[in-house]
Amino acid sequence: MLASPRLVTRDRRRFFRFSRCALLGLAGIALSSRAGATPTSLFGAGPQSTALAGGGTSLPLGAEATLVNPAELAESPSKELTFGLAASSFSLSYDTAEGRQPFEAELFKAVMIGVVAPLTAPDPNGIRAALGLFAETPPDYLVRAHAPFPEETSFPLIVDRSGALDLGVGLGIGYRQFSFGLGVEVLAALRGKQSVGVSATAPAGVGTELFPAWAPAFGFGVDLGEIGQLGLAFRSVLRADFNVDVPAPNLSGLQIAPLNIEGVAHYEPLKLDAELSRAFGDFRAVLGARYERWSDFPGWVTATVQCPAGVSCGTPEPAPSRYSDVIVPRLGLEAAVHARPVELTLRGGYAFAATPVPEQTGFGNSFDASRHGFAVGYRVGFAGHVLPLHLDGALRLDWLAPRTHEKEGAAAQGPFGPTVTTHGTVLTWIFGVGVEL
Amino acid sequence: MTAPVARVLGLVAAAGALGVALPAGASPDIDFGFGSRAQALGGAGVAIADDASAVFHNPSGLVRAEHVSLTFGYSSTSYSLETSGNPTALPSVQTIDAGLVVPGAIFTVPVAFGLALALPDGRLSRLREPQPTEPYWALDDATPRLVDVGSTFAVRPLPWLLLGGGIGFQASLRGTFRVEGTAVVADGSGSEYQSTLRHAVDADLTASRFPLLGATFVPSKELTVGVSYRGASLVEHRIQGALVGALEVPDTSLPVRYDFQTKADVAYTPAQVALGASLLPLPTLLVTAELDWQRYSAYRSPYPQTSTRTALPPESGISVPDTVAVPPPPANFSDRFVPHVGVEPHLGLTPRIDVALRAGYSFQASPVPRTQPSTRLLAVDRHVVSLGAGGVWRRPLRPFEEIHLDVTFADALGVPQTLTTTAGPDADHLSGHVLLFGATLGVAFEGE
Repeated sequence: MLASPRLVTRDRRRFFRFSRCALLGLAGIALSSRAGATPTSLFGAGPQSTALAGGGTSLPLGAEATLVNPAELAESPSKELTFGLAASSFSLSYDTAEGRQPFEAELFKAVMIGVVAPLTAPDPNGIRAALGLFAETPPDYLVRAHAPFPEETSFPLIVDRSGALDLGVGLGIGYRQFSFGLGVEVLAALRGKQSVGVSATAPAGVGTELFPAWAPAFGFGVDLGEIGQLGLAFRSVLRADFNVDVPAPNLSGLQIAPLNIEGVAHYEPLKLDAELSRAFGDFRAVLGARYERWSDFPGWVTATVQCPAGVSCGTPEPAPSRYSDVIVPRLGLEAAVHARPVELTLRGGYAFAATPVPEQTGFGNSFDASRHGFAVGYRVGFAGHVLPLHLDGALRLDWLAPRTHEKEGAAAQGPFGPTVTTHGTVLTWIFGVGVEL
Repeated sequence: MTAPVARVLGLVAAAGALGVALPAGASPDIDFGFGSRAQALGGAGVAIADDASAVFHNPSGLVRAEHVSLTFGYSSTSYSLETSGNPTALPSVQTIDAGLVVPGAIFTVPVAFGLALALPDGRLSRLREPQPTEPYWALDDATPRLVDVGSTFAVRPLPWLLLGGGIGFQASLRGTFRVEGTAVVADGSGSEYQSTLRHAVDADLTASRFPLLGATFVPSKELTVGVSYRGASLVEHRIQGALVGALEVPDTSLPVRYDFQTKADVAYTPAQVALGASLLPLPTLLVTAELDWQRYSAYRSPYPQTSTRTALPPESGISVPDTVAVPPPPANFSDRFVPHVGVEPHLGLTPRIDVALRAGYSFQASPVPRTQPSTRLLAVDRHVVSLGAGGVWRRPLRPFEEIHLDVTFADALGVPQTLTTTAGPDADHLSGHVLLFGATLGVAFEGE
């Protein structure tokens, strides 16, 4: 059955103007060059959450709620398609005995797309339900596995972690003042099942299997009346592994052990978010915190040689990462500015993200530091549906507090000297267009 | 059961189905079509698709959807193919697919967004690099085992014109691994496990993107004409490895460096242009026909280019010959036209329940050359016969506007044929068939 649109000439012109803008935007997305970032867990999912320094668990954020708190999808009033761009620029360095060394990290870019669709007809006393989908993905890759040798400098939790597809689908159901949500987040994991076959005379090629890695998410929201809105969100561990078995290379009759190239390409810890927001006239205050369970983190790589039972092994298991659980407090503020037909919302936020990574006292140089995140943002909408769209933007600066690692024992005599101090900032911007359908 | 409770149960059921669908999936099989309805119509979907299957058949069809809808389906494809009387060990593919369509309007102009994905066997891909001397069913080994994800947008600027476009994704692998340390040579007593080695990895799962475009013309209520283009997608392996350190042989330790490199185009889905039409000669009878052009000639080769290099000190007296990468033998595939036809009579049981029967046929000529000088790429011409049925239940309970259930059965009957080759036996005698069974459930919601 085909729809029977009644086209209005003026509307059609406006539509084509809008279409040209949208196509230009999409062309820009398509032409975005190499590399990307999906900093949803680090800096916020989408422009609204980013502007609140990662907040929004108690707020109806449209499609962004899929990754923030799926329960809030239920409060979406209309169908909406969102697309946009995000980027993170890293300026990191470390001081050694030889002076300040810059840490090279490429500019990460990401394409964002989201959709939210109410499933029920409006009914103030009935059940509200909506489906949401939100994805931030680097233009050119889905997930990146970067596991250097321990003594090689890296910032694994801020640079490498930001480079992956983040895709979520969620369903929010609301009844009266309550809302509940469930969803899944998806990543890709690599397993080289057949692997790199190497015969005596010639390599036999590679067989690979890619699996989806997924994690469930649950959300809850309640309107507490004068107290405000409370939002809770739980997200399970999201972990993408790589595992490539390399049969023993046979070097002209010299057989060595099979190689086990295994580790973790991407890891998001179990998270529990709680947030309370309350409106004061044209202002809204948002106060929240997130618990991140990093102590379960298994480490980036496993032993390169897996020994059969009963055989003594020369290759030890890598030292445990000893990451710590952290709590990330945050606060945000929204202010509504009425200037009809423009509806402007200004946002700001602050978050303190303590580092889960212990001091690097040995030869390892996997650096991280506690971050102070400062964010600002805006939303521009149009009253009375003059234009069925809104523009969101956010800018976030993360300042990594200087951190000194005092090397011990033989490591103190190593190339990095007795102490290493890290510094850095990360600048993230995100821009999105939401279109009501 | 009260209405709110029933609605909650319905929504939870829908969410559960979505949850099941997402981690699994089904490649929009270029042989059978995407979704049970198109599969039952011989794969002819370009002029009829109006749900999530439109993402791959013809994105413009999305804008024909009137309600937010979810579809999720299952299909099983089993291969009974023989090479010179020997069964081919191609495992069956269990595929789950899922799709979302969100229709709407911008300034009263109908638009729609669609997303569809398919995961075969719960994987994003399962691929391998074949060797030229082994029999390799080029169309059945790789492509049906690939995830396919597509996201498209459609608009209806004029009542008789529907346009759509978007992007499809597949995943390729590029990576480098490094191993360092001391490798102990095996002496028969497990000495190789005394090796002290460690590894580092730098790898990307890259996105292989391809365009999805479509247009539909509706000159009358009875006639619909559709045309679509799907770009080629190539899945690559680009993998390098290095072992650097010492090689411990009895009585001595030698510095060693071993490098390995492989690159291959492990899977290829051809660019395709589809032109089709559907006609309602009777209010209760739909007839559709489609002709696809598939550009297989652009596929270079599935075979890998591999190389190894081992560096040991000359005084060790050990010589390991290097393997030099040589260009893989070309596939030499041919482009092909694939015709599809389907019929769909409707049996209106009640004003709220409609049942349709379906039958279809398509002929798929093999793109593989009959004479191959140095490869054993296998494929046969196929007659695909399909049957199916579908039912629609309108307004069953809130918040559902419609519930669809479609089932299909298709058999791709191979025409026995002989390929001559110098890469193995003089000739490969090919025969067999491929069976597909599938079901798709769709739910449309009343929406805002």
